Amino acid sequence: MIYFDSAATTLQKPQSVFAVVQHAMRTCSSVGRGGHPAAMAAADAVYSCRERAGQLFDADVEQVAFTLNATHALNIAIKSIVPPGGRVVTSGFEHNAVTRPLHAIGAQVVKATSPLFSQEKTLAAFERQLTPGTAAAVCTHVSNVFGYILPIEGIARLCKKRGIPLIIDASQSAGTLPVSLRESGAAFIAMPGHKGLYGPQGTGILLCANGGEPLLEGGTGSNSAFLEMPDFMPDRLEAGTHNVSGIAGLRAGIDYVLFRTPQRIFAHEQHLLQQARQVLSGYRNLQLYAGDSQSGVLSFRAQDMDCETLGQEFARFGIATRAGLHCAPQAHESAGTFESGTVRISFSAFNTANEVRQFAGVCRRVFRRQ
Amino acid sequence: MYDYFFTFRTVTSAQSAAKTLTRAGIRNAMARTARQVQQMGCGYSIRVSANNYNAAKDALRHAGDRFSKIYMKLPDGSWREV
Repeated sequence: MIYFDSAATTLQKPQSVFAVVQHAMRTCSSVGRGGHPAAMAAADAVYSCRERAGQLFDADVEQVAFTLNATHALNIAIKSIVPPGGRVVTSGFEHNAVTRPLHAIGAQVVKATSPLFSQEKTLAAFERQLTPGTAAAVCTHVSNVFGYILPIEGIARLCKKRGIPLIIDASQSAGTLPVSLRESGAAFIAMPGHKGLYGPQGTGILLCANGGEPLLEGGTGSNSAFLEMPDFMPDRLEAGTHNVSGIAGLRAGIDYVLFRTPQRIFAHEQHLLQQARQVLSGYRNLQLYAGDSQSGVLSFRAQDMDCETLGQEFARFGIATRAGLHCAPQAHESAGTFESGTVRISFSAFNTANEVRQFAGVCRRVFRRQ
Repeated sequence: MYDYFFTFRTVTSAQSAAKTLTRAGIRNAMARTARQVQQMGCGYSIRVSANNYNAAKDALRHAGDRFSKIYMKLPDGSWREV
């Protein structure tokens, strides 16, 4: 199988991730729950992942909280700072991991709408909408559907200037684009561990500038004599037993990213993106969504084939893509693709130019059959 | 000579402090805080020898590692807050 669905989860991981997960499962018990070697091995595994994450994302170890995934992290972030009914500014490209929690707490959501791939217009839209009385801004760094890289540095500067807390959804950018808690001045940055950081599923990270409010209450191995959750990080946000083997694997994934460097991984994915754009632009019945500020994610739709049918056709020929609304209906509304959906291909550091050439061969067969 | 124990509220803070001491060339050992001296219930401590006590305290303060308390363990097994 040729795997072009890394925007959902990276399937190919560094070999070290598999080895470390297995080793941790055999040797690590619970973090902060004992002083015996297995507990201390777990504590070391988790702490070293915090250190690596802090190194990659410019944060202190105590600002790194582990979560189950980006959705979990975003829920903590949103529910920490958005009061019920509060005014929240979002981009028009948010994932349901942002829109559903906001809806659930009855936030007054105002979209800073802008066309795809227009950073200037996106920034202008935020400038208009970030008005006094705004409780928070929540913005994706990269659209999971179209790969559009939003001008997050500019949005962060605006938020800082106007004193509005910012939550960044770095689900599609962590590991490929610069993400800095300190420089952005964001209140929170949420990300999964299983995409561009090459960790196992069931891992996520929430970077917290000034702590947060717990979504779950329970044991933390600290302040045990009290009914209240600890008021210090990271314990405040990490109730219950950690996914130690997953976090150990995530550390190996982050090590890989640090070694390869996000810049080089991004450049590699850009090369594949350009190659795929060239392949698909040869078909007149396809509509491609491509622009200047685009990461390694490419959406397209066929005029005469349902996107799910097209996705199935690719799967039949051994190409894994993702079709439909990609859990981001608002992004599709913004791009005018809500009714049709799109087929999305997305790359990782493990994809090759040869795979894109094989994809080109499959495209010739799929589109000839229409 | 007695050993000194710096107590921490959370394992993460204790680990950061242990790293600071190791970087400063100060031998240390991390362990669970004795129940008798737990302020809030459950926590971790870092043990250093009396010879290294002052250097350890300075290194932790300089690095911004916030410990909760410092204890000495006496020969009879009791604890004295420093």
